[in-house]
Amino acid sequence: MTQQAINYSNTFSSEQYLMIELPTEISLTENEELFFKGNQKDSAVLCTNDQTFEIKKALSSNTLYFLNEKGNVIESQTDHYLEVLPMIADFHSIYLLLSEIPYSGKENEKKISNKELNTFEQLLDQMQSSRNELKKYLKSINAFQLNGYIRIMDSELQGNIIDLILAIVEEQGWDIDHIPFSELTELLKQIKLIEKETKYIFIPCINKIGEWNDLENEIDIETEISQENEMLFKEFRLNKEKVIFFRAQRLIETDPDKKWKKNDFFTYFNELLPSKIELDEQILGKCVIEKEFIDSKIEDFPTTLIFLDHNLFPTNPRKRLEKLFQIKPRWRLNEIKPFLEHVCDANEILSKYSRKCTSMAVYPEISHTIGVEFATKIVDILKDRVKLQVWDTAGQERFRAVTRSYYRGASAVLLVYDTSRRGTYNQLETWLNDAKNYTDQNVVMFLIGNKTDISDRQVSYEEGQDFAKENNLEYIETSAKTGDNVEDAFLQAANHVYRLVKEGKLTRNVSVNTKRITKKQMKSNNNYKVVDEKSSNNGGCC
Amino acid sequence: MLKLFIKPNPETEEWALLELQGILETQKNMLDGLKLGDFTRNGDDLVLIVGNHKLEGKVVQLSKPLYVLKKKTTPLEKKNSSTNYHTIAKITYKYLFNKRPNPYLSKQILTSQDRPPIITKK
Repeated sequence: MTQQAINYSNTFSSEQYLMIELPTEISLTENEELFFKGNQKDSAVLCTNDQTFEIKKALSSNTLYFLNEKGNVIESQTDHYLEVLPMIADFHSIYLLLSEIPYSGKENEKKISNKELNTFEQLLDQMQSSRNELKKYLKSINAFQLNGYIRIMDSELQGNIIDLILAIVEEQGWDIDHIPFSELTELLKQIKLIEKETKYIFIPCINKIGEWNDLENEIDIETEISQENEMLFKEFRLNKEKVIFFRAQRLIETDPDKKWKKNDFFTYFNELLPSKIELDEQILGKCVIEKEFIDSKIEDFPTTLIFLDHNLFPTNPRKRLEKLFQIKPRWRLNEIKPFLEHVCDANEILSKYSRKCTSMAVYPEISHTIGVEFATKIVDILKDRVKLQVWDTAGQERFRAVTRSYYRGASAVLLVYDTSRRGTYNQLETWLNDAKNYTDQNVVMFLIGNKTDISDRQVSYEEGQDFAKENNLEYIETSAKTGDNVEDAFLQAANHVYRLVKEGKLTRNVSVNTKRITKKQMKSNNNYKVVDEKSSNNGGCC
Repeated sequence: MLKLFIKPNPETEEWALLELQGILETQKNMLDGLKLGDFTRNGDDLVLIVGNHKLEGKVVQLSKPLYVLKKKTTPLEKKNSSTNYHTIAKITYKYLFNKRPNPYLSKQILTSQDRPPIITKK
């Protein structure tokens, strides 16, 4: 047991230090750089050479003292510390910046001033990211260094060169795992179109479809390829995935509106590939999607295809998801997965954000009724003004308990079914029983066949009428979409109720519910409650 | 983009964090050089006596180390100056007093002229 007195230090003052919590993998040594980075408007991030962290202020309501146990003195006090969490910087702006002035051939270079271009250090300075993360990203978008500046190649020029390379490889019958670079450049130089180009720009083209053999220390983007290190590039091999990506992009982008049948596309695509590379459907799925969402039951439905280069998508998971849903509002899970794998765990990200993204999707849908919805309308019947209270009850089974309580005190019931869906007609029995059980026996009941605008009818007029006759209901057919008969249906119902009240068969304002609302609207003469009961859950609103 | 480096200091000390629940209110404005209280350690169990309050606590190892940094601006030639953070101390454990203090009276305090600090719960 030790006992000591604790004192405040002679220079004690609060808030003279900053406290930061660092992950154990960050070692504070002279060799490794560790710094806060950001512009005045940004929230700062913390960078090492390889990683980027976002910074959060963790406030504490407790008193935090820094205790220096050497002399048992309290050096200072604070109420917060900084917490750091790993993050992925969004490099998309870098791509946009580089693609503004792509390398599009030697003759075009004269028009470009160096001021418009960026060195690696300049790019790094613009990004809240670590050095190695930026390098990795630039590699993924196939950027290269030319005359000290970081560039990407115009896709047309790059495509043409790669087409030539693949053609030469095929023609020469080279082993696709050992393609000699110097011999290839000799042959390329003989082609008129690109004879003036420096051979260094062939290297990024090759990077797009293959990898270098025997390149021990990979030459990263910070080192420009020059006479000194060009010797290192001896031979390369074609990469199956990269070649398929490239071919798919060329094929789709030359005629983006063409509609393909799946099998035709595969056959045609296979012919375009080098003879030693076979088509792999799984790889194709990583870069080509169908433009529309197609029911998997329909086979060989011709559709437009889109090529998606995941490198061009934002690296921030949420932004990436938004972008993907902008391109296509509905995805199958196995279809979207390949496009998310690069930045995050697909399942995790989808469960986190998918609800938000589908709400951004544009397909229109009328929301279903939750519990009940309520509207009022004043109509004139003979000389009296009648106020209708229309209660729209929910159709789904799960709301049944709630909706029943609203039947009480209703003066009229409108049972609505969907003439284009027989299921809703078959359910009428249940609804009718409910309505009879919970309402006054003199209640006015109407049967309404809705959606007559849909030509594909499943329930005929006669069937509707028969059901109505059997059960002593009035029958009307309407279309909420075009507005046909809707007004009529309500007016007729109101008329019936009016008549019954005048005859004294129906008492007014019996239910508690109705009273509460009528108090607010004392001026109107008559109040009747109409329950509009829909057995179709997505019928239009009345 | 502005970069502020965190520079490891070879003389980085090992400190501890002393965490008290709530806020320590005192009647003195300047605390420099004053005594906070008596600290007793028995293994991982701790007792801190502040005025006539007895606080019981324990030693808690931190899952991630905390670093105490101090901002240092070194003026360079011309108008430029460089601002960096230097590590002052590394903290790997804390003394946590997260329970309500108990009253504690001793003769010394009763006879003392100095009025003890008061701990209020937040």
